Amino acid sequence: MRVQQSVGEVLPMARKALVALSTHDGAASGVIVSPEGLVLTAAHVVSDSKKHPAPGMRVRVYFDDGKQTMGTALGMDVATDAAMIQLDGQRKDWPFVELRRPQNPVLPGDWCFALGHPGGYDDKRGDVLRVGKIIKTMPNGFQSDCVLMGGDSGGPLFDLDGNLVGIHSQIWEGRDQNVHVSLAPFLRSWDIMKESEVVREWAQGSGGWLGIATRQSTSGAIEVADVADKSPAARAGLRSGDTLVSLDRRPVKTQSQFSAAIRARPAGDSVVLLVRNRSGDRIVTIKLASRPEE
Amino acid sequence: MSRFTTFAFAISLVALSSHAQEETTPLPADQQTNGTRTLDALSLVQNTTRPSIVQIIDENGETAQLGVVVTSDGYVITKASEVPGLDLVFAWSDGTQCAASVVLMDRGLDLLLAKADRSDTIPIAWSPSTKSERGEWMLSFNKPAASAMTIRLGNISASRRSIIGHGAALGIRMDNSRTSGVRIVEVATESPAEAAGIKTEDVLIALDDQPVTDTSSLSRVMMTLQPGEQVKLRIRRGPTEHDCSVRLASKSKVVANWDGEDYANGGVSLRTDNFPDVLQHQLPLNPHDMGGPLLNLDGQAIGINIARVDRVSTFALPMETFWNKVQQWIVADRKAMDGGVPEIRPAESPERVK
Repeated sequence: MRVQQSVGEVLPMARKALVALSTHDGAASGVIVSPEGLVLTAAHVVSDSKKHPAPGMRVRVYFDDGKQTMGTALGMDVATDAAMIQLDGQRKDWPFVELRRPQNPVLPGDWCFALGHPGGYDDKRGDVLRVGKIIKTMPNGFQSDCVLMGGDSGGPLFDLDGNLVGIHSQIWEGRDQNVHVSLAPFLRSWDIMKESEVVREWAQGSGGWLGIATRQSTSGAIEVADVADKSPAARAGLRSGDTLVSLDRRPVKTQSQFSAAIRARPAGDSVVLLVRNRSGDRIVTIKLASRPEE
Repeated sequence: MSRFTTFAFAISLVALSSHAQEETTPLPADQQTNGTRTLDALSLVQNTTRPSIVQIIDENGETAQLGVVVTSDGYVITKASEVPGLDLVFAWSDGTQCAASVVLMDRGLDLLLAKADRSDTIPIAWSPSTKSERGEWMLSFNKPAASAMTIRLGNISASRRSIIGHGAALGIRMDNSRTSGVRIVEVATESPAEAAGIKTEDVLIALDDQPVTDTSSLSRVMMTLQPGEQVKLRIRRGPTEHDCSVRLASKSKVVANWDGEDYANGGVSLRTDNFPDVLQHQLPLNPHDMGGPLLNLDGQAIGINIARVDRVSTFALPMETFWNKVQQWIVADRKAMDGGVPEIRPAESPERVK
């Protein structure tokens, strides 16, 4: 079966980057995402006994071969349950999974697999694999039918190409009620988390905001329908009626493709637009902002 | 900021937002990993293997566990420690039911051989190899409470290994009663003691008609007992005494689940340890599905499901651990039925029932 073959191909690399964690009050999992030993896990794993976030907390880390090291909790996003740990030492050759731009968005029905150490590290059993499907996607996470339990928290969820797509966060009673944090909360606060800061506000992770509404003209071109006051688009001089020819050198074909591409970029990132109107074509570089509060 | 760091920064941020997506319509239940549409592809395997599985029916007419047909003359193997009794009732795939007698139990493997008086049974096909890697698809049968038996899909999830036993437990904390007996201080959630209706402040005064004088005498008796064994307890509650019968559980399971099972869905088996070799998988099964076969995608059995352990784990005995023994038991039993002398030495058949 195709799924079994795909899992078999990417599993060895994924397993090497998996770690079991042991804190003062329990067992958990994590995944190494850089050769310098940066580990992603869940925020509740590195919170103290009163459930307060605890940057600086010391964590024991177990590898598949039984070797151990220590790590220190960095920052975390307690609103979405995302956290980072830095492994001790100067090693620059930890086994890791690279965070790649996924080829496809994660969608309900996609096959995926979960790794972790349910119940804690067990050297004879090793890590535990569960292949399943994405059931639902939420703004900051996914629900899957890869069954999880205590000890899996912080472990990785992969797609069939071996891309890390989520971190195990919580379960409800149903066998299909296993919830994973997506990478959005991590990547949106990457540098803040690395600085051991705590993020407390729940953010949609809706990506960059340009400040325009679009419409499709009778000829099929995508046009600016409206420009929000004081928006990045307004500051760049975009006007109602301008045609959006290309975004980052790729042709703009549909409204949904355009808005998805903008939202796939973070606030602060710049996009290059080729804009056409009666006076001709021009290239504008616009720095995206955060969507203003309504 | 150097060009390189800017670039690295951009990569990470790009990855960020492509994950930022709206809440989507949930996947319809029939398309989940064990949804009916996904399982449609397995209907051929389901139809060919289904006749080789019996449901073992308890006194309420419910399915207590499953069994695997191993010969064409009615021999069936199943999990020993949770069979409803020694007089078994089998429900066959053709809709008929019949009585079956227990031939023998092997407490080490937690297996039981039984025989129904039928000569038209279809034995399961065994796989030539039980070598299996993490991630290989496996199939098993699941009997939901209110509907028909259905095939289920899952994968080998962890390393093959032996599981050490830690003895049996009732699921109580206790101290010495002021008079003779053991006072119950706490009863573990979902434990054998709770199932038997034992309450705190009850005093346990006898086990299998042997007086229990204090905690150390109870501990000594418990050390001789195995998970799955049924024992009779005499309880003093206030001025009255009563007997209750209880099936012991694995101590490791009771300790791990002292405050209840971690969303185990349908519970866990009483005996979850002391196995010489197990395959671990994550199929969505219940304790009542133990005794059924673990099948590969070709419908060949590689083992028998022996313990539902927790929300994510089921253990199966791989066929090498039992198949030679089972064949010997059957040969010996057939000889005995013909009036010959059973060839099995006691060491190989710890508990000959017939």
